Amino acid sequence: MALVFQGLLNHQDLSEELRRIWLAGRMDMIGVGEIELPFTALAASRPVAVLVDLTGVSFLASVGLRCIIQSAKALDLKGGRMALLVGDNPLVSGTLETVGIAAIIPIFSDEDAALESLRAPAT
Amino acid sequence: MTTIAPRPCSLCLEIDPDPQEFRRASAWLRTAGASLGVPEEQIDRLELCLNEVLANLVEHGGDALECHPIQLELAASALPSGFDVHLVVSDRGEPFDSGQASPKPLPGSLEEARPGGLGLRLVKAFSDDMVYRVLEGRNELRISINWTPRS
Repeated sequence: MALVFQGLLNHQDLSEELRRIWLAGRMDMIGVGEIELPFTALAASRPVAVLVDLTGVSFLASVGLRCIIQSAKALDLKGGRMALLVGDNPLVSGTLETVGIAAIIPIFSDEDAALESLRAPAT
Repeated sequence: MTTIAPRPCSLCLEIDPDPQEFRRASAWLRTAGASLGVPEEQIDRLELCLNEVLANLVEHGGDALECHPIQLELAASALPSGFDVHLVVSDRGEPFDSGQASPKPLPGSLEEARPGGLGLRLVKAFSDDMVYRVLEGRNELRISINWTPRS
């Protein structure tokens, strides 16, 4: 249950089946290069539900979107599922909407709704 | 929201074609945009476009790109219907007219999602106009963003 701090990437296992990952800062080529491997390992190593919290992301480029999509696909193949939390971050939510992420990974602005969705049985 | 007219002026920067330079370019864009009186939300749009174009150049620009700096120029002006800020990205990489290229269709499911093609979609969505030309052996991509006092 411990919260693990790794700078731009933190995570906490809320239960055996639910993991929360925080991303922060700039998700540009440099930022993604720093977190891509540990993020993928955290997000797609076990068949669990994963909430990726993007509320602390100040800049999201396509390289960051690719990283998230690839991890979501890997997690899906393992039998897990991912949701994204954007809060009231208009730049990040606008970027996600522009590339149609909502059609493939659920996006939430409300934390409770996101966690409730991931705790509910998969349909 | 109140918006003042941007000051007609242009500012320039040269960077190496290296991802390590992207943040310097972003910082320059934000400072230069603010000094020209461009609203922050319009700078946000332009910054995303700049990062995507630079990433595309480094990924696909080829060997010729590596020997020459990338030149950036930012200018703002008043239009009859509002205001305009445009960023010109000039490079010596492989010619590529991103204004004419079509983004990939949006995926309908996670299985259909493929990496790549997202950057072009973002630039087209976040900019109001893109004009490409080749001038004296350099590619020039002009990305424009327009706004009105209430936009």
